[in-house]
Amino acid sequence: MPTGDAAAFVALIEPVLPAAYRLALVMLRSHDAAEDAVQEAMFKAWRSFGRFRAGGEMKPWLLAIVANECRRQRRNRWWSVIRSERMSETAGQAGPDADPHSADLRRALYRLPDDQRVVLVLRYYVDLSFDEVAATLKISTTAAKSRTYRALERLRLSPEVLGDE
Amino acid sequence: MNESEVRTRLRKAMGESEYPPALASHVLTRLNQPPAPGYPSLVAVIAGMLAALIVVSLVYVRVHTAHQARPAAPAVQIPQSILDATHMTAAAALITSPNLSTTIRQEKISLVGAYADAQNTVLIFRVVPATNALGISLWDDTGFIAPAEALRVWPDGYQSFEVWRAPDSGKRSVAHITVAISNPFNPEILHASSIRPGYGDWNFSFDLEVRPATTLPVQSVISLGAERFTVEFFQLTPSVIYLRAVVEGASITSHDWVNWAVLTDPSGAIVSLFIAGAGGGTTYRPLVTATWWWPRPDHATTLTLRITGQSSGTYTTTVSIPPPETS
Repeated sequence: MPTGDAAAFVALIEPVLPAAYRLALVMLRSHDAAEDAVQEAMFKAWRSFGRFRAGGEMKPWLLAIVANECRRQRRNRWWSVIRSERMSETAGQAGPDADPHSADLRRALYRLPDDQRVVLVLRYYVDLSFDEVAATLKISTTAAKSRTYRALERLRLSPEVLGDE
Repeated sequence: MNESEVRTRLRKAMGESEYPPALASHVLTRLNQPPAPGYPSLVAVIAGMLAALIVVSLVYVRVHTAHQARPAAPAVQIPQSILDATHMTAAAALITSPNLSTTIRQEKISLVGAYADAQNTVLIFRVVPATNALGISLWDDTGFIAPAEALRVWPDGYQSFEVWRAPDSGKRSVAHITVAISNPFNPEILHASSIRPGYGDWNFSFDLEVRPATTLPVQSVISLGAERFTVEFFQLTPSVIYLRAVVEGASITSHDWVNWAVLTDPSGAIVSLFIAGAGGGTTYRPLVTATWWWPRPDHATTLTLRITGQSSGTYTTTVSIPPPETS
């Protein structure tokens, strides 16, 4: 892709942006941080687009870059400061916590090991197939399924069957 | 439970995220910018050290050629809107007017108000005619304090510079403040000014009384479910109420930590924070240092502090806030 053709690249990746944003939001739990991570990830994707394998799946490739960017940002984020302008917005984020069962599940989800939480997010929040989850995380489909199963067991949401819908 | 039910429950727990409609255009903007800075290379570090040596060798000459501050016209009354915006309403009577001003290019820049206490330092400038944000570096006698942690531009040429800490005042409660101003904002000047003072377009010093804090009553160690809060400071200054706690067993992977500590007034209304900070709490390091700054009420009142853990439990205590100090 010509380096100057940023608009064409954005048009190409735009359908993936909602999924990328959802993934980043769950990994970073901050709207601002998620948007920053997606922007930075797409910038990196654009610069390395020449290495994208022709005929490969664009969505897992981009989401893998987003996940890596989120991990990098989380490692670097040691200090968090919120000014008053964002206080009311943060305080108003009752959202799913209004339901105590959902709040418990949400807390449990965020206490999962990173690899287990990401696999659940990709499968059930971003709606990827197990093949796409595997491609995103660069693991086998079998490993993606077993990791999902272990994560659900920890959340006491043991599934009867892990299909691929 | 089948996969569809799992999906429904997890989605309900996580909530539906609102996709920012401008994200694609923001991405496009980002693509047209240079890469984010990474870790400095060895070459860059060496170059930085050489640059610092050059700066040190030149500083003596620059300090002696800096602009001299001169007395300004009579002290400017700071509008109430600026006091409110900088959370200085309760401490308004304690703001001093150093009466310092200069002219850089066509703009007259005046330091119209200065204030410091144990947890807060505020400088208020006025630029006539109004211009963009100035560049500011601040020093005390022990060294560099900060570049603009929060330099904000207000209507009518007012600009406020806020640092959420005290300048060092030694034993006499008076800090010797040295300021370097660049107009317009110039990162090179600010960088040089962070190494040694005296590199601004306008450099000046003045003495500023640092008001003390009083300790407010609170239990020092609070166990709430899986978390343990160790309160290091719960203080009242003329301008702020300040709380700092070390929290074991918690993480700050979201902004939820902001609501761990809440102040409410006698009617039960939440007192708005104006700044809060937390650090250290990652998935791999469940130990957080969190701080909260609330503006001090501009009248005598009783406030309730409520501390809530991430897992369970709540601690509450009430504190009496005296009327604002006037001298």
